[in-house]
Amino acid sequence: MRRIVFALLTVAVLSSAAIAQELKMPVDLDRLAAKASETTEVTLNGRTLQLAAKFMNDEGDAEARELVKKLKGVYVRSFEFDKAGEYSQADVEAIRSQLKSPVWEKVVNVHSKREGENAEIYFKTDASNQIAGLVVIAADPRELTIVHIDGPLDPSDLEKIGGDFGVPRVEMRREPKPAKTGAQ
Amino acid sequence: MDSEQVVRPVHRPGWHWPILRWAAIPTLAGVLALGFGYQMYRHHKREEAEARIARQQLLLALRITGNKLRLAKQKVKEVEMGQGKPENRL
Repeated sequence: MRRIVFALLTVAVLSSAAIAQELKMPVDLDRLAAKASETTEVTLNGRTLQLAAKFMNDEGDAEARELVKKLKGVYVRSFEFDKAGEYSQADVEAIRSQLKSPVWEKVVNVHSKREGENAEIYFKTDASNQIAGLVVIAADPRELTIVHIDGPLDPSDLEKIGGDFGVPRVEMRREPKPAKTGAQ
Repeated sequence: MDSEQVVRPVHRPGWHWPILRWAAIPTLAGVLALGFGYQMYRHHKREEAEARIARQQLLLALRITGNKLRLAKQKVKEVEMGQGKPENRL
């Protein structure tokens, strides 16, 4: 009986953690911190964000506060290395593999062979086709950054905070769906 | 022998004064209120300190996000001005 209760509790705890973050930062990413010359790790769950929002009373905080109130989580992992090749594609793939259609949509994918810089932006869309999350993967030979913002975001939110936090003014434009002619 | 012992009430002269007895109640209530207030104050201060750290972390996260989005946008522009167009809709 105890085993069953323990198993149920374990499942409940694990599933609540999974729901809270959804996108799992692989353990291997934490291993990279040991190799990195600079590491930035930000983990803000819904409770912490609401707490921060409560105390965002400075001048110019109003817009950011309104944005933060809606968010469920902000997670950042950023690693800077002294030399190239400290992280592998498998490290990035562990994140990328979780960002699958139809929940996640890749809206930007830039690969620069010359400079070795890659940038990917994913949006999570909900049932009503609204943006419900954002993931940015920026990888160059000596730096790897993964950002996950969980929660409803609309382009106007990004525009609003653009000036304050350096978030560029992103203009969303839906690509017209190609007509189903059968020819590719 | 033990059964013959009589338990005598302890004589506390001070507690017989009604004014002291009545003063004890508000004093106790005051002490409890002060203790509660102090705990609330400490909780608020702790919460404020946590919030301040969270705010700083949030600003850092947004700054990093902004930088990376700007970088991506710049790359998109570069590619669009160059040969091919990347798969983007920004």
